[in-house]
Amino acid sequence: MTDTLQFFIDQQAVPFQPGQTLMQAAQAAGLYIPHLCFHDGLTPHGSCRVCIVEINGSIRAACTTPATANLQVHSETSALRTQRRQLIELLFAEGNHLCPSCEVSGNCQLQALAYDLGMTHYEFVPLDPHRQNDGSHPDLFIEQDRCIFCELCTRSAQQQDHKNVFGIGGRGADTYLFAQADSSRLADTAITAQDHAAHICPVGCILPKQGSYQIPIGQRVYDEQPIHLRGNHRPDEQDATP
Amino acid sequence: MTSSSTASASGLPRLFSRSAPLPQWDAAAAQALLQARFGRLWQRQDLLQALIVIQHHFGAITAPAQTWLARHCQSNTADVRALIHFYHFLQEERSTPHQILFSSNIIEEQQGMRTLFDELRMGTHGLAEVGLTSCIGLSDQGPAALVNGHPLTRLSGQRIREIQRQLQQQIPLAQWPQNWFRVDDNIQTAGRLLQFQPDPALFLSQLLAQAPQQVIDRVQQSGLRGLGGAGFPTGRKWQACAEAPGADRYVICNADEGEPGTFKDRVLLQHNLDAVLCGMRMCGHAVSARHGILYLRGEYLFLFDAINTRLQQWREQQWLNADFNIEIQLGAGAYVCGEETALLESIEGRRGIPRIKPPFPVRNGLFQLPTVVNNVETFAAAAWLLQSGVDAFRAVGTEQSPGTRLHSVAGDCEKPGIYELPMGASVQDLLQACAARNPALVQLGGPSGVMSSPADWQQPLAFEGISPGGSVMVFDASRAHFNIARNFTAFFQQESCGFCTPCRAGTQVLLRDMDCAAQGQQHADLNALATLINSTSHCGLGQTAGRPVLHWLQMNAAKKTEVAHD
Amino acid sequence: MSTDAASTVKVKVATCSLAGCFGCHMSFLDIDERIIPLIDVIQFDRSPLTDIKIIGDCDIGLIEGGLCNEENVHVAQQFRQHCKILVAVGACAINGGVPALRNRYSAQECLEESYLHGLGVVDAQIPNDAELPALLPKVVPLQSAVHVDYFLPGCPPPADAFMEIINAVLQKREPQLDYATRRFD
Repeated sequence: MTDTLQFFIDQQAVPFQPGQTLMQAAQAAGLYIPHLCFHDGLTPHGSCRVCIVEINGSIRAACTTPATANLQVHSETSALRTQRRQLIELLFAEGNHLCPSCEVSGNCQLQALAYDLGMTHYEFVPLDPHRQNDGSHPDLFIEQDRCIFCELCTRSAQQQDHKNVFGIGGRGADTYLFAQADSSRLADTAITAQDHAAHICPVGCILPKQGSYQIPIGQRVYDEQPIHLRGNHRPDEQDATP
Repeated sequence: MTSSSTASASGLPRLFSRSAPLPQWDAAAAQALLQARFGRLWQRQDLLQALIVIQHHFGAITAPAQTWLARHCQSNTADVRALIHFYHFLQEERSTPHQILFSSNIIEEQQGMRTLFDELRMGTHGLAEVGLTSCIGLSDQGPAALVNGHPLTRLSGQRIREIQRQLQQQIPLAQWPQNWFRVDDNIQTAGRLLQFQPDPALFLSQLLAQAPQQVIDRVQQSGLRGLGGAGFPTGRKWQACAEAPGADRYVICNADEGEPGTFKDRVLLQHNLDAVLCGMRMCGHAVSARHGILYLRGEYLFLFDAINTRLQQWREQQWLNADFNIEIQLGAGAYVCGEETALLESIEGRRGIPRIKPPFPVRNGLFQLPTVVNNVETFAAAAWLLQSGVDAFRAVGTEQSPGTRLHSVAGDCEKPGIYELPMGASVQDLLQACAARNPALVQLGGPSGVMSSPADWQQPLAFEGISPGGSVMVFDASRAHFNIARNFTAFFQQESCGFCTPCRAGTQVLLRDMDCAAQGQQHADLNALATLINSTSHCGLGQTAGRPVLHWLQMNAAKKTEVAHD
Repeated sequence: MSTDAASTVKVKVATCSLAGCFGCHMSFLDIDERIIPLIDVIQFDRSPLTDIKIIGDCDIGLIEGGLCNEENVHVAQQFRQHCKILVAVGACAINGGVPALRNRYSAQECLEESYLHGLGVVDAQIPNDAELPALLPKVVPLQSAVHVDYFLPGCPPPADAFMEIINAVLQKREPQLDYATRRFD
């Protein structure tokens, strides 16, 4: 018998290396666990909570839970699917996620997860945020009301581009994404359109100023294929070598 | 020194006196204040502490102050503002010399706080900033408020009118009547812990005669469990920290007593400070740590100078020295910082966002070094058990929860205050002791604890029974459960750090949908939403934020069943 | 004809557009020739297709658009009272859609921009005829005012989604929207 370390997701064996999280091992094994704030080239974060799994009756985020040998993990249960859908619904209700008026519709990972998890609507009262947008940068635009606070951009800038570009400020309902400059303007940071961080936003918050409609609505990434098959990929993402 | 910091008897500058804020930003004055605060060159990790000093002395951290601070620690002002915006007591602008924040605890709300708040707000016409803040730990002598960080207790309509007169006549805060600021201990039942006034010299000689492992063994044998609420075995925590690899270690006293309705740690810090310091010193010896930090919640700023003075006396006596020293770090209005890893982030000068666990602080704590974080009462109890012995410690309480427990009691009762009872005493015992008036509901352990009804009141208050959370709020039959649940939900919404989806977005939506439900409008499934928040949130705050709504729904459902059966 | 009508009771359908653009109605008409057999089994009540102004008792109500003024709320309530099954049709009905972009601003700011300060405004004045329904402070989804049974997302929902909901009602089963018919854009 092999002495490979393994745990189980919905009875399926998943091999892992010591130090890997459940998500990292699952991703390496080609098993999709829905997520937004996880990226395999960046440190785990655990803020979106969409990757919740059940272990011994309690709910954990797969992206921050270390893999241990022979762990029994439940992922595709109807209860978890419902809660994941509710989390997606909360994110929709929280921000300005009005798909028909958004440039990334069809390429958006939040929207793709909504499709995949069977969301048609949400019952929550929309929160209608009202944050200051930032159009200062020549190549990039920040539509603040669409931020889901996943901090992929923050981490990508630090860990892949080695630049201090983004940060999260405030708290609770008043949490906001900001540019690390006295002016709080993106133009005054070192980010360029070629940086990893400029191509990692999973929603329509950090947008390129050019080329948004080159591929028409209806023919985009998640129009063609559901996210559980396609994975969390932007059509323009950069090579993820850190 | 600057005019705003007067020297105390011990020769230490009084950093947080009641002097009015300086009207103008003055970099030289700020430099002197920060020198007094740190006594060394400060850096980015000290930024929060620096902001607190600046806030207190200038009333706000204005743009030039932000620039000055950012330049000093090689950062940018957006980064400084990001921090300011996290902590409720830090602000960028100040319109008036006086700022008065009313404690929005449900107990004080039920004592008429809203009327007083409205009266003061209407009557001051731009003479003071008037606002609300989460519980300030004075619900046994409320309604209470903070004026420029200093507590005003026992507020009444009469007092509000007097305050208005002070404001109208522009009388400096330092000259307001002293008795308005009186904070009583209100000790109703003093057990062995509240009577414990150790002689530090004797305690230290007894402590240092024992090997660190011996001390840990005693704590393990005593069965002492963390009295911040979670009840983790203290000895096991100390053992794990002692065994964790690290060039250095930290002992942190969590005095961020933010759970609404809780004020026992305030009383311990005022009344039994040496016991707490002995406990910290003991832990430092046990785990071979050289640094102790007492993280004091911003609401207890008025205790800072007294504690600092006492620490100085300990240093002068060599009870604190190069082997082990203790310093105070202040919070600035953020309940979440009571969560131990958020507290570490705050001490490191960042927003109080709870870390991913594991790793736990005993291995990767402050600055990634092994760290023990214990509650104020836990340290005092540890010191007691070292001095009195394991058998004496276990002689009181239950098998699984030995020792005594301090309960902060407030609400509809004749004798609010502190009750020290053996672990395992029942809610009924407490209700009798405090002369509760027609009690119908009792909240145990604050909003994150449990709402109990008469059927639960014979149960023991112990870790194996019903939550011995340190706070007991008594509600008589006239109090509407919805209003209590709404107040608690609003509290969680305001105190959510904003890191994870369910807590950040969920608490906002939950509050709105509760209001829709109360007004008979369409609303989401509150039960499903509250359950989602509890089961999927990142930290303990979120994992309990749905409880008040669930308790309210459950008790409502039970009542309906009762009616149906009648 | 008369024997047909006697043997089958037709399913009554009402439709309307509130704060929408009628795009959903256009998409409904994209069912093209499939409308011919449908006419044998359904009958339109209040709808822009019939010009009936007052809704009678119906089996299905299809509402396009969110709620932006008091009249919208009134119509939504009427539909709820008269329809056994109420369906929110399209992005605007479901979450406010494009009209909800005005929620960043107050209703007064929107009126001032449109009628007083906007580019090209002549004879600037905010209309104040008593007949005009008052704007709601915010554009809100249909389900914030009335209970909604089913949701057809999309801007607009594809014709197949309309067929599916109507067929499901005719066949007395739960509607099943597959991946392609459940788009938000």
